[in-house]
Amino acid sequence: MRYLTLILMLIGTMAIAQTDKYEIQVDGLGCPFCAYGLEKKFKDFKGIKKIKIDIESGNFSFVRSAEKPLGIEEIRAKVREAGYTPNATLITRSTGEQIAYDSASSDVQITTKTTLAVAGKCGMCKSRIEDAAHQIDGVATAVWSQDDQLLTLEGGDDLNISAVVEKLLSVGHDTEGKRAADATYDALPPCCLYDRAQ
Amino acid sequence: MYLPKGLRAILLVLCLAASCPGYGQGPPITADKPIMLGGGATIFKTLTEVRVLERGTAVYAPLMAHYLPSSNTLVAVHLPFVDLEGDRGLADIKILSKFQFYRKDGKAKTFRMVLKSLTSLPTGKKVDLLDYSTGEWQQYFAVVAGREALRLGISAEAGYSLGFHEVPDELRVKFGLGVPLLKPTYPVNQLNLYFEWAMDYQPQLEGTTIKYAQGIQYARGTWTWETSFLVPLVQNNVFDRQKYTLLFGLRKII
Repeated sequence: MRYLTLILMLIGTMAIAQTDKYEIQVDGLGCPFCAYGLEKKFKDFKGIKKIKIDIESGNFSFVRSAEKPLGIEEIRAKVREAGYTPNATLITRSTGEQIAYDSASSDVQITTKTTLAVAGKCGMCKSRIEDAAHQIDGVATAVWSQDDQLLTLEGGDDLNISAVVEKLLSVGHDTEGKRAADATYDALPPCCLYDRAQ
Repeated sequence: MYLPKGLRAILLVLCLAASCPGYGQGPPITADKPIMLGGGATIFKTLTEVRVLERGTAVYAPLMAHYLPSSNTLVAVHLPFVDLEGDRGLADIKILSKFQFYRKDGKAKTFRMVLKSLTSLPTGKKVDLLDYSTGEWQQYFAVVAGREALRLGISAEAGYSLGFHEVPDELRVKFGLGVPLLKPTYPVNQLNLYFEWAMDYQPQLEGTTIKYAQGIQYARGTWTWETSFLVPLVQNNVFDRQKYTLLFGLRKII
């Protein structure tokens, strides 16, 4: 019985470890019903769990399976769809990697908009591509389209396109005709192994 | 200093509202609100009115279905039934639409404004219950503004109703305060007090009505129950004099 309990605990711990945690500070939650509207909208993302909303601080958090990762832009867009204003956002991946969107970034004056050809294959690729782009200073929004294989970037005057390209290559995505290292590409999850141009 | 009786009542209620230890609140009862609960939401509700008039008692029971196609638009159909001293039937069906054109969010507070259109179809029995069952077209346009914060909710509405045939035009102004009595929690568990005023002015008749409604609302989860007691404070040159009105409401968010 003791072994069975231990095994169940181990399985439970492994399951918890395989989730990404999402934290976002939301403005405009003037009443508990507003929080309901926010939660309802986020349930469009199937499989979200451990939803917590603190109305007074606007802190909203949830977890979701690491196999179905969400990008910064996806969750911020969902807050807007619910009719509220997203602020500081933090994603903690199951690997421990953190992707942050500082509320100060939202104050960036958008002066530059550009698109990059970025190869990818699935939702997990989308999340990885957008997360990588957000790690570069000066990027205000980054949205990748699987259909077009294009990453649309918006940012200020300091938006450094070549830094974004290098970052995308470093996470395994061929960008603007440049190839990521074969070892990095090979290390991508099987579902992400897109067809590479020769 | 002498103050008219109606004004004294309003000041007393405002003082009471200001002294209440308020927290987050829900939707107003008789007034309207500019807050929308996110695109894709559906709300079913009813707000049955028992209106005691000098000419008899009228019961107005609408079934209301509200749908939000997006975070800043709302469309709704109100299917009402009316009974005036045993003369009962379908009242004027209403089509409501709202568009939120301004939003300013802050931490635990928001200020929003919406444009509102309410079309009354001539489907009702001709029992001369203005705004409810006239059997004539009516078209109402309004601006609704509201500030929702954890300590106090304020809503205001101003609009003009165009009457057709024998239905008079009406200028309508509403104002409401919502004062929560419980600490804000999520999931929802709220007990709210409402203090609401409405002023109607009919230019053709030079008739004025000022009403005050005292309401209480309990909300738990996705259900809301509410009741309100409405009394006319001023009734000058009005066609249909009221004694008082009782309102009973129920809402369910899907």
